[in-house]
Amino acid sequence: MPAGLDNLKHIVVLMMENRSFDHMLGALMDTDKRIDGVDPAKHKNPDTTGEMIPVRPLAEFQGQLDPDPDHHFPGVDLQIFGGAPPGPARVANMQGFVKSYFQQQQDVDQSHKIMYYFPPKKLPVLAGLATQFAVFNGWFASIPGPTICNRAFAHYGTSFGQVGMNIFEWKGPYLSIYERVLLAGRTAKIYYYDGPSSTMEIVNLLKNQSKIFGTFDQFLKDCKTGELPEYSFVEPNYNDHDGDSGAEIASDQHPDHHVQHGEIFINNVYNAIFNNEQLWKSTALLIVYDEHGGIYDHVVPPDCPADDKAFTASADQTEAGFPFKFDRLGVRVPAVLVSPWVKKNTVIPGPYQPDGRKFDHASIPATVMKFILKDFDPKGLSPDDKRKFLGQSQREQAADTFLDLLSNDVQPDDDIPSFEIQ
Amino acid sequence: MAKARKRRAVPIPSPPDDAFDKDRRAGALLQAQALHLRHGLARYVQKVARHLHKVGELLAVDLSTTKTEGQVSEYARQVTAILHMKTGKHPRKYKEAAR
Repeated sequence: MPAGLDNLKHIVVLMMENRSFDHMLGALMDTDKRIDGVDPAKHKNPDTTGEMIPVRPLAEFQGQLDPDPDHHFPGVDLQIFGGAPPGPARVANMQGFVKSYFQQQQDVDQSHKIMYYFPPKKLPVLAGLATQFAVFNGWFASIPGPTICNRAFAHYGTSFGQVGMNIFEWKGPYLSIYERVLLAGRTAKIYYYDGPSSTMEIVNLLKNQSKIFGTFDQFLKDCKTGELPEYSFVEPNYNDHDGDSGAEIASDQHPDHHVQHGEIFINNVYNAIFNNEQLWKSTALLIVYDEHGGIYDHVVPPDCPADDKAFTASADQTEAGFPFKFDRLGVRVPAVLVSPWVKKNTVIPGPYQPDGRKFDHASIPATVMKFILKDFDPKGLSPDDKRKFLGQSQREQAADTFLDLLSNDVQPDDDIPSFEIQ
Repeated sequence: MAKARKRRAVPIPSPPDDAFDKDRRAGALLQAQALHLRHGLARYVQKVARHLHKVGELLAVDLSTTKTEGQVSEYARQVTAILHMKTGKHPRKYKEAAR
């Protein structure tokens, strides 16, 4: 076993909001051709007048993507298939983003902004961590749809047939990854930012398992005291609100929240882990986005094994005129794995590249299960608990995992970036 | 004293405070979150209502009829369960599993 995996004691996942890979990290291809990023000569979308609009490095931190781009199932279908009617012959072409954004406001100029991306110097934290550690060319949203059902894949390995934001009550059979970890006698927690921001997993987890939650202040304390659980899921601040020590500015980067505040939040999570030396050497931090937010990406989402037969979304549920078997991933999102045991400047090839791999949010519980199982034997559980612990959705069973990225060698501290606010 | 751990400094700009706007119109995600929160609260009210019904039953017990140790212990069991009830489901008992 590589030393990095041998030393691994904690996995932390920070899930941000609604930005595509090309939009946030696509410009890195200018300096590293292994990264499957943006090319203005090739990556264009037609607008409603027929003009071809290229990608451009003109993304702004705030005030540009207002109104919020469409990221519900029918809108994402248009973005991926360019408006072709559903049917077995249609081909994904990623040509519908500008047309989709036009529908929000009927404004041709505004619709072009969906093609804008950030140059790396505007995102020094995310881009810096991506180049220092590992960046995934092929991490996709789990479904071509919005936040809550995508986050469900990170918590449960499935969304139980949900493609939208509707309330659903868990009826089994798969437990959340937190409950499975606790069944194994290990520790897990969801850290939401604070009460006013709360969590996005309310109905089934917050309601019934309040003890698996903590706040971000608790996360910081737990990192400092070395009491971080073996698996932690961190949520950013989802809204602007007044806090005890002043204004709390949203840090999730969901349009139209200020992207730089998200950079600071990512840095705070990263620093909290680094500043405890033992924790730094024993933690893998995955920074990932839940879905693309309706923003352009050029990579066609690949097919995937269908989820359990019981989890098919009907045509009424998709609102797109056809059912969905969860056999196709959503649009590509930024994903970066931070650990001193990751080789510097690792680029994990995407599904259409040599030795390509594809990941989605089901990879998260799949990886945590592999991590727990590396030194835990479930035969000590009762038959009922063993069945619940080992139960994984079809999608989770098929998902790739990322522990193999931890190597035998550790990056020295003096080469690790420290992002310092000027 | 532990040696200070030095990293490679990368300057980043300070984000503006004027990004704050709690009067910004809440988007679809936050509106959905509010609906989910209300649903969770409605379920909690149902749980509290069942709980209060039981509390009422136990308050109505005439303790002059509770004479034996067995009767007192049964009363104690039921009241203790109420007083120790936490929010949400009773926590699943997670045994310390063998590694």
